[in-house]
Order: sequence, then structure tokens, then C-alpha cells
Amino acid sequence: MDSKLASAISGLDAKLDAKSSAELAKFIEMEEQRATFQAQVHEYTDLCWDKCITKIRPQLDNSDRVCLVNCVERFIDTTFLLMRTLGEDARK
Amino acid sequence: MTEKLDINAVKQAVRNQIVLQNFQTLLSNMVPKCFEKCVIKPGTKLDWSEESCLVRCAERYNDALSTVSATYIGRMKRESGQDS
Repeated sequence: MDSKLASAISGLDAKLDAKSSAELAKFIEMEEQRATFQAQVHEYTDLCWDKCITKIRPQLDNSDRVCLVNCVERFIDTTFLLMRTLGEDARK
Repeated sequence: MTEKLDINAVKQAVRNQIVLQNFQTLLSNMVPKCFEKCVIKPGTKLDWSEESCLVRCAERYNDALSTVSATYIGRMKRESGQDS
């Protein structure tokens, strides 16, 4: 979606003055960052819901919440660990 | 001059598109999860208990989303603090 957005916007450049064009580029960069963040939150929630929410309760209880927090933290740890592992393998 | 675009209109269109995209992602992730949890044996229509379970499930999914979001933000802050 991001690249489609970027190309759609670059097509608009001809119809914008230089100042507006720069302002729009900055705006798009910010929105892309936010969209990437939101996509990541959706992905983590998708994954951690299956691991942590075994029963639908009137509210999330404390153990649900602790599990979700741990799930996100350990997923990020896993990402870093495997990045390092792949990096070391590549250097061999 | 008439063919110049209103930059604020472009920004609003982009924002609307992102909100829509976000909503679609939320819905397409949430529906299968809540269906699986709440509609155990599909009948001729959703009954009262299935409906109330689905409503609660959607609320809990949103709670989970908020918890995940806050955790991720906290982690990003910690990671960027370490770098500097």
C-alpha cells in the first residue's frame, strides 16, 4: 500500500508548487511511519491473541494482560536474536 | 491557477484512506478469531448467547490491541534510548 501511495502522490507533484510538494512529502513520510506502526500492532495482536486469550471474559484479566505484554516483548527479542544469528552465519 | 491542488484536501484523502485500511485490517483479523471462539456449532441463525459472546470478543480484541500497542511503544522507546 505504501509504495502505491507514494507513486500516486508523485503523480500529483506536477500540480503542486514546490513548497506544497515538500510539505506533502513530509506528511506522507509521517503517515507511512504511522501506518507501518499500526500494521505491526495488528500483526502482534493477531499472533498474541491466539497464544494468550483462551477465554472471552467480561474484561481482560491480569494474566491475559501479562501474557500479551510478554508475547510482544519475546516476539521482538526473537526478531533480534534471529537477525543476529543470520548476520553471524552470513559472515562465516 | 485553477488546476492547482488543495494540499489540505490531498492530506485529508490520504488520512481517510489510512483509516479505512486500518479498519479493514482490524475487521479481517478480528472476525475469524471471534467466530472461532463464539460460534461453536453454526445454527440457522446467530442466537442470543453467540451474539453476546461476539460483542464481548470484539471488545476484548480492542483491549488486546491497546495493550499490544502500548507495549510496542514502550519497547521502541527503550530501544531508541539504548542507541543514544
